[in-house]
Amino acid sequence: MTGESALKASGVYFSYGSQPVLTDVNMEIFAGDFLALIGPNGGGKTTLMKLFMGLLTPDRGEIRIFGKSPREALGRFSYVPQVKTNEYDFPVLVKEVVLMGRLSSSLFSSRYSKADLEKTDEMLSLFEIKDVANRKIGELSGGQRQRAFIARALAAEPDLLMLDEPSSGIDSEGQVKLYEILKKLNEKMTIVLISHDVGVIQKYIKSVACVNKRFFFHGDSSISPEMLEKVYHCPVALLTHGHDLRILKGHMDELEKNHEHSGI
Amino acid sequence: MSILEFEFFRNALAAGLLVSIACGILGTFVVVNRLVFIAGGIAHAAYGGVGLALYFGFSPVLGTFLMSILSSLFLGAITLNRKSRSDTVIGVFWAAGMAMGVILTDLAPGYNVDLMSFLFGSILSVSRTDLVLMAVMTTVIALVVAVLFRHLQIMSYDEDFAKIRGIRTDRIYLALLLMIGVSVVMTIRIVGLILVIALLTIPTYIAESLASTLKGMILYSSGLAVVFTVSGLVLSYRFNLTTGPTIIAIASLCFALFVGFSEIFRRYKTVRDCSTAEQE
Repeated sequence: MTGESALKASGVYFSYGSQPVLTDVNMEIFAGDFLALIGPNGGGKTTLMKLFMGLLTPDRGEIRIFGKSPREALGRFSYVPQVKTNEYDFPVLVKEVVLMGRLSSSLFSSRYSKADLEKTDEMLSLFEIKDVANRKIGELSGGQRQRAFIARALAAEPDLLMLDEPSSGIDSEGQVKLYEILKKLNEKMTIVLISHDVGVIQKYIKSVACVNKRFFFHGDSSISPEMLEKVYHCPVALLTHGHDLRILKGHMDELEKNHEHSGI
Repeated sequence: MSILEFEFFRNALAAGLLVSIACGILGTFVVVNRLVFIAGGIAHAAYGGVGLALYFGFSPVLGTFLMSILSSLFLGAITLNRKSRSDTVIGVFWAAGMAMGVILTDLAPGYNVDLMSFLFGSILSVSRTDLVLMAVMTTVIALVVAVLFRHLQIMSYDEDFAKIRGIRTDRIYLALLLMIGVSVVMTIRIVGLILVIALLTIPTYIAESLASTLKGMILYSSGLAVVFTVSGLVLSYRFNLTTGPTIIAIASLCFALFVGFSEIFRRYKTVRDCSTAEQE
């Protein structure tokens, strides 16, 4: 399981126009890791994830997934996008969404095989959304919809799973359930996750990195006040409860606002 | 049933059916991909093709066809990179195409084309040859959409996910715009370039709230487009009105009624839900 490089970035720079978003990102994780990316809004977490997957191209530097370029590694990784709560009510059924994970790029095999349908069925059952499989995706609750997107990503049978804020729009009970699922999945695949739940994720992840224009890698999963200070560039209040560290919600919002004002 | 004895009316009816099917299929993708403005741009730029055809002396249908294809590729390339201000470029294309069409028509020797028939359609002058062309175009559109359906669906729903599945969304997008260009050529004949957008969007808007899948949306909007076109054709004949605008007037009226009734229904439902909640 260990030894193989799952994801590697060397000297990656990216900017939107003249606005630098990421500067000199260097990192590497190995197969079996469970990496959480934390950091302030606008710090470049989602951009970095899109660079990993080849959806964006770095201005400079190189991304490697299992030693290959993202394009060559297509099919080995999969993705759970951020769910927008006010998402446009697209006419598509839950089972159709999950089937998308099995879609191939070939025009002439656009019919799904028996194996595709079976895999989809398995995913629908695993994520307890089989009973709503024939409903429109927009009719689902936040938690159900999130599970449908994870089911879709896993239907592709990836070795590396990337998730962008999978817990947004889910109540705390649902979040715990979600992270339990991810922990179980991590036995079989490498996971990279963007999250704001600094406190909750600590129990599940193996390593953590902060992204705020630059990349601050921390080998283990502990999130220390010093580390947060370094990333958020100002003192952060932490609530300590056993091993559980939580940033005061209101305070964090305030910090992010301050960052926006100061142009960071 | 006496009007069916006239060949022009039978041709008009057949043309209306074919165009309704094409509009139902492509209107669905226009609406879910928010391409309404691009579709309008293609339709108006197509008039430049009419001007070119008259000035250089070839068929106006060929002119609109070439210009539609060119403008859909051009606007496709511009919007593909999602560069800011692409909406401005579409607007410029929209106006410039029209202006070029009118100026070239002015400069064209001797012949003066009926501008109104391009603006508001000329369904009653559809010939057998036109009909064959429309049948070919509609069949090609239906076949291409059938083959590309899952790729069109995933691109419309989640482009990023489509890309990581290895799907070349840029090609699919250009193919979609090309088909929209082709359907615009046909639709101009029926309702005119000013009203193309209405036939592409009104049936689809209503269909969207009735259907829960893209396929359902295509079927409902094609069906609604057929109803609007046929009833518009019959009413315009009975009351001696211009056909294109009559079709759009009926569609718009249905649109208004539909939106109104669904709003009333929604409020009634909210009130009822509240009062049942209170009783509990």
